[in-house]
Amino acid sequence: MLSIVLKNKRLINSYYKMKLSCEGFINALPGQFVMIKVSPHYDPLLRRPMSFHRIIPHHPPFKKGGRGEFEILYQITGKGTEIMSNLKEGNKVDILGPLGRGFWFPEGIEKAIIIAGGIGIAPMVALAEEIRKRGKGQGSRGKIIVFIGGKTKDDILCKGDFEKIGANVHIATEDGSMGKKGVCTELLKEWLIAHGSLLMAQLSIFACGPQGMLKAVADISINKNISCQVSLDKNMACGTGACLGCVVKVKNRDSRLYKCVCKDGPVFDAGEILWEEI
Amino acid sequence: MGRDIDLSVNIAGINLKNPVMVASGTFGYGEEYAPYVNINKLGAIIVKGLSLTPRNGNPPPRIVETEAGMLNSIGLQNIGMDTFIKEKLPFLKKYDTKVIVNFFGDSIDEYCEIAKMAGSAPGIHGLEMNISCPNKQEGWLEFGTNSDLTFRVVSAVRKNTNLPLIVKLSPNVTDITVIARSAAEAGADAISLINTLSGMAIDIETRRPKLANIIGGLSGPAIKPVALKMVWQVARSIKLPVIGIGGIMTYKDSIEFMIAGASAVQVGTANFIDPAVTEKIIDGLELYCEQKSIKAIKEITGSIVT
Repeated sequence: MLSIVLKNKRLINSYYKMKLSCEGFINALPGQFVMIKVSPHYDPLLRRPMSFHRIIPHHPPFKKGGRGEFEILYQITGKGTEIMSNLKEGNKVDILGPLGRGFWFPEGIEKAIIIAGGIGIAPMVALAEEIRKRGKGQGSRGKIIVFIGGKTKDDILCKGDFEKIGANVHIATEDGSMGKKGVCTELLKEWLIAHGSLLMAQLSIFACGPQGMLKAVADISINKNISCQVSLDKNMACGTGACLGCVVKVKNRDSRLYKCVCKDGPVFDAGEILWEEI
Repeated sequence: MGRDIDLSVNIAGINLKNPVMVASGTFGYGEEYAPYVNINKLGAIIVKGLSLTPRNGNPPPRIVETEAGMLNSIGLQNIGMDTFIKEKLPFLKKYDTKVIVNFFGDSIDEYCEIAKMAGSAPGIHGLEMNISCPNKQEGWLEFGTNSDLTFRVVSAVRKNTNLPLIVKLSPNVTDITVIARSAAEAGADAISLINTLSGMAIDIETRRPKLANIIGGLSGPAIKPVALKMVWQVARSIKLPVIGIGGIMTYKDSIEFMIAGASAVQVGTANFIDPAVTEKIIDGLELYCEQKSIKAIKEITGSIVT
């Protein structure tokens, strides 16, 4: 599907935000992704998986021939993202999607805890917006607490986006240049202790970030018996479950040792992943 | 577009509506790509390689992108022949395309066992033997790198099946025509080539191989010239139909392989980049024939001018 670049701008350092439009509707869920062919050439050969950073509602909704719009947030980490950063308004890129299994929303959740490290923040704005939408008019439901971690203050993205929708934002940086010095998983631990009177069954954690961070979040959630979803990031070739290249080892529940991050995920229940061998 | 152009080809006794198939391991069991491509349009689907029992495959990372290509070491992860017949074949049978089962084994007996199972499962139109996958950790002496072993395994399978039998060759050999002749003498109906080229990639920061399995198989446009040469070599050294595989991205690539001697082609890695690429290739072939006033695509096969 051809998609048109509406906006592509550098946020800070190697972080960029791109707005795209495509024909038809994007019936995407937060946590799902698109595979983008960043150039028509053979190098780089493969598409790049990019999660939905924001899914923009259609105006007017469901009009035939309407256009869908969405944003992606990305960091230059190699050849593909380098090319992406040079795309200009009006450029066309080919996208495949929405793909994968996104976040789900357990019943009876009073508070959603979003925790993200670095570029792992990318899918979390779409998630927070969806939680906000679902929790409208339901009292404390839809309450969102956000923990963001990064190496320095320049790695802390989207703080304002979360504050705009009324989320409670906590920040940790490894060098202490913003928020608390340290890692965001420590902040989460402290918060849970401070809110020990809350029923853990009414909390739900949503996490995305480096594997070490996700493992730490998974440990906390399993320990405290809090439902927890993690969004994983792996190199992918096809994005549709055909190549079996992006697998992750899961606890042996249905005899399958590996699951595809692209198709069975990228969002998994934290309890499903075999963290020792990730 | 001209409707009078005959795109059909007959390979190993299988009538294909056109010479474009999807290569094993790049199209799952069909379901994965059903939302993106008109499966009815394909000449054939070669399903993900099957073994007698399910395989977990190799630990990740399993893939790495390289210049105009990719390395994989999936390790032949698959659901096993039994589950395929029960759970995947019924889906494929709904389509008007040929289903070819790619399979492999650890022993000659295992190859034969799978061939027998396939023979009694309606809806399987042919077999493609993988005697060459470079990812198999256990088979350090691969069947497909030795002409005697190739002969033995192919002739044993031949005795156990009446299905059309395609033998898929490894390029990681000194002289591929020797192996091709062994397969032909052992009773193969067609030869497909090439499987992936053995390769590796290293992360210079960590000094570690980029694949957990250290080595993997290279595919994509990077390998096309090598594949083309081997197809040309094999096509002129045996009488069987040859199926060209290796880095095909466009109809022009497909035509090249056919001119070199291929009767049909398989599209592999390109499916990952564009799931509908095979439809475009088929349309391109038709257009090419029309422009060159070619009535039947089979006329192109082996038409190389030297």
